[in-house]
Amino acid sequence: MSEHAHPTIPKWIYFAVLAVLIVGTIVTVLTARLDLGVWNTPVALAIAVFKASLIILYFMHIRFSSWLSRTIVIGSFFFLVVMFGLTFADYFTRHQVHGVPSLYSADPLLKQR
Amino acid sequence: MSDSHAHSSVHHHFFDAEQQKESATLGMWLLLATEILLFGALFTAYAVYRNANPEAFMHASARMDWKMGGLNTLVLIVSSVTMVWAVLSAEKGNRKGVLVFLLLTAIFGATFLVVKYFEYGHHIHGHDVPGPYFQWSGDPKLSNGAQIFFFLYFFMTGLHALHMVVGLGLLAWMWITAYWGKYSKEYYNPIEMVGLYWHFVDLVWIFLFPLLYLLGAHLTEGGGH
Repeated sequence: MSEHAHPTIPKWIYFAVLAVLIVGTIVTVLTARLDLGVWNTPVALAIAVFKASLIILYFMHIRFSSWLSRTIVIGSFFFLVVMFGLTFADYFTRHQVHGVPSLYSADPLLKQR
Repeated sequence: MSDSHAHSSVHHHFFDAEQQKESATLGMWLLLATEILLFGALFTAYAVYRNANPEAFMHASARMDWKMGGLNTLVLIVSSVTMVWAVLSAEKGNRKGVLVFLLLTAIFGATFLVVKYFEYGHHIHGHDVPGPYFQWSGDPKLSNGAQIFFFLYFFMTGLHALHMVVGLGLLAWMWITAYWGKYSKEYYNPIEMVGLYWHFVDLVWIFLFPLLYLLGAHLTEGGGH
């Protein structure tokens, strides 16, 4: 229990994280100004996930926390992925399902409100 | 505070300060887990409607001023660092440091809200608010999708701004109790927990900024009004 009671984190780490977060923000804006086609959003999200990870690990001390706290963090992001996954498993496959009554059906007989 | 133990800040239902702190951290993270899923549901809604209206979202987002959003991103990052320093000061029992850094954090937080106020004003005068007063100068086919974008913009940034207001209230509470001398080297859990909350609000904005402000930044009309 006591190994994370008083974690001695050198202060330069916080300045390094601050510098990386500022550079990350500038890179986000610069890449968004370019037309990367379908890659604009994946690049922006990759940078955002990287920045968020630094905040969680260092500012929110998860790097130095107990596994009990870490489990909550990992669990909440796991269920976020489940929410995204199940939602898009539905939306991406709706048009492939024929003969099922749906608000989205092209067939007027199957289009039900 | 506690009268059973002399000079003890450990409440009677905890074994020791370590367990008390661990419990507070766990409770705060459980709250943040519900917050992650609350904002997560909104990001899911955003993804679904953007998937259905990609063009409209891109052109509606070009009406955002990314310079204001970028400025606010930097303001929040710096406020997170001053919050870290408030907690570091509390860890050393440096009351003056706590007061100074909590105040700085609150000033940056208030700056964020002031910028947001001017942005909202700009959108209201520019008829970007969805509803009967919405006006769309672009392709009329994209008007509905653009309204959905602005609905999500006001909902998500509005909920985020509400969290900022709550955060400012918590900072004020911490400042007053720190001024009263409630915290010491041995007990500063509330300051650390408010810090976790404040970093979380920063974290949400790091996703909101590119997804709402920068979709249309590569278009010719990008970069504000």
